[in-house]
Amino acid sequence: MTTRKSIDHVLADQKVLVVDDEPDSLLVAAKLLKRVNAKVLTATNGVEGLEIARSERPLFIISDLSMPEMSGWQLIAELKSDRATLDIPVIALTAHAMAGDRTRAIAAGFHNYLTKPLQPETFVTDLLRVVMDTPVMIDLLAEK
Amino acid sequence: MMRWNVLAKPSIYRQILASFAVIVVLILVAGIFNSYELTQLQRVSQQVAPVGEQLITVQEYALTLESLDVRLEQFILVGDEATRNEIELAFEQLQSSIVLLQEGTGESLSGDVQQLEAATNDLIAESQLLIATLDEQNTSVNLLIRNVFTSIDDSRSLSQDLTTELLTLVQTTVTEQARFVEQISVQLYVLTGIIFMIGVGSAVYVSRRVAGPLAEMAAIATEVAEGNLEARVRVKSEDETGRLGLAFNRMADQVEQTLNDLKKANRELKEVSRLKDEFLAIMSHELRTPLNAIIGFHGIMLMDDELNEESQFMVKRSRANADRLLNLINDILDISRIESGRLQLVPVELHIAELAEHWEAQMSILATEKNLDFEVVIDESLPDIVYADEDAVTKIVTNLLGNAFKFTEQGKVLLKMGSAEGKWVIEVSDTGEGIPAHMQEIIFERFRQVDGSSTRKFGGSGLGLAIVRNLCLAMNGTVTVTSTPGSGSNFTVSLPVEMRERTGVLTA
Repeated sequence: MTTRKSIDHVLADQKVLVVDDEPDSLLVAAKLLKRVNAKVLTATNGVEGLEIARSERPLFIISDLSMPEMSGWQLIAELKSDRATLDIPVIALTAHAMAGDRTRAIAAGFHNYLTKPLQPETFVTDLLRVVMDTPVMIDLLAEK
Repeated sequence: MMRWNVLAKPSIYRQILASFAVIVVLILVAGIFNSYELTQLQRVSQQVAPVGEQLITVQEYALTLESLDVRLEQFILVGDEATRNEIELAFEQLQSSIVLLQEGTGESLSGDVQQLEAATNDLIAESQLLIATLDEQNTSVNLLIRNVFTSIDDSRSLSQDLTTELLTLVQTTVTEQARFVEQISVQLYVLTGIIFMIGVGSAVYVSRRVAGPLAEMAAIATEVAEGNLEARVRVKSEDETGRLGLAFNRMADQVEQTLNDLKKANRELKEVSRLKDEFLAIMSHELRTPLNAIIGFHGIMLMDDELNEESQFMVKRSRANADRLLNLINDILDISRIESGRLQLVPVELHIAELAEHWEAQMSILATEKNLDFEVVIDESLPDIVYADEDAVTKIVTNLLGNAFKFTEQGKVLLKMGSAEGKWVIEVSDTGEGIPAHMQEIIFERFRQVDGSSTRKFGGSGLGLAIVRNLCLAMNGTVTVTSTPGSGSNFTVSLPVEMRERTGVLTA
């Protein structure tokens, strides 16, 4: 059984992609992930995010939903229609919190859904909690 | 009540009245005609009775005559006193009959009666002479006898003639009577026939004039009821049915108008509702996004621990205020959503152990800060998994825990979860300042706190418990409070949800 502290080490040296058009939100998430030694990749719109996902193949992706040029919804569609990226779990991170949003997100292909504002103290733990049951994470934990 | 100026317009009512007036007039005319006949009938009838009496008198006369005939023969043979007296009596009877006939018969027969009187007087005289002669035993007896009996025959035939005359008179009267009766009957039959035809004719005419328009109106009304709002009655006359048709059309106009107004109002309402939803969605997003940056950066600064004590304190306070602002925004949006009925609960599988761990982690920071004990206890009666809406349950627990920490300065906050009677029971207890009995119901109302000044001291919008109660109700559950001022409070939530062990069957 892993304790909370060792859970944080799970992400050490792992590539994580964060996509958000709000620079402040992007920075908060990036900083928190850097604190657990993850290799943080950032993108400020869906197009950039798609490119990075294809070329870098991160462990998982965190994405905002409402973005210009390509929204989070469009991004997930693209990711899931590309063999190279369809196995990468994507977590939606958004300030929208209306009824049915989570269901819609999961139906669209997101693995799970976290709401902003996030709790900086528990962000990483919450994040890991919602990706823990994906194949990539299970493999990773098995290795460690 | 009909006003008389209605005469100016055509009217079915007037037509009905006119028909019946004609009928009544005809009946009166018939009555008048017949009354003439009836009077004649009456007059003629009066004549019959006296004629009957006269017949009887003549019959009596004839009988007396026969009796006299017999008595005279007897007297001729026997000649005794008794017979003479009877003969005298017969003379008197004949004469009194004549008197009756004279009095009773009319002008037409007075001649016959006079003749009869003369014959009777002759007879009496000759009979008396016969009697006198017989008394003297005269030889002219045979002649006298012949004279007497001839007189008897004369009188007899005359009385028979009179009888015949009287009978003829009776017959004529009766025939006249019959004729009048027949005339009256015919007239009555004809009149009845005419009245009947007029009556039927009027009824048919009136009913067509009324029933026709009414049937048309009923058909149009059905059409309108089935949805054809433009159907209208054709108004063809100015009488009562015409006015009814006009009134009906006006009403249909009104209905069409009202329906169109309602449709428009409904569209506008839908639009307003849609705009409100849009507003909530946008506000939700717009208000939260900046707070993400604020809370995020503050948290990171505190975690990095590179600030001096003073700066750290200020950042902490700043962060606390940002949290307060976030809570306020969340509460407002929640209550707005719940109360406008837009809350949709989506039960999902929840792992009790995970939830407990999460809440413990969330609150332990606050506990450490306020130097309070915080304990999470899971009773073994509670299965591993429950099915409920995660957001709703989280909100309930977070609100209750938040309150517990807020109003407790020393001691302990306890979160206990278990099951009772098939329901998921969540208890949040604290050793805070408690809630007086009279406030224990009010605090669940919007914007209410135990102490109005608490808002300043403890912060908060006063919406938390209102939200907790609304959510419990939405899940068919309950929330109750027990408290002793000065010792602490206990909030108990009971939710009827499906539960199961990790490797077991569903228990509700």
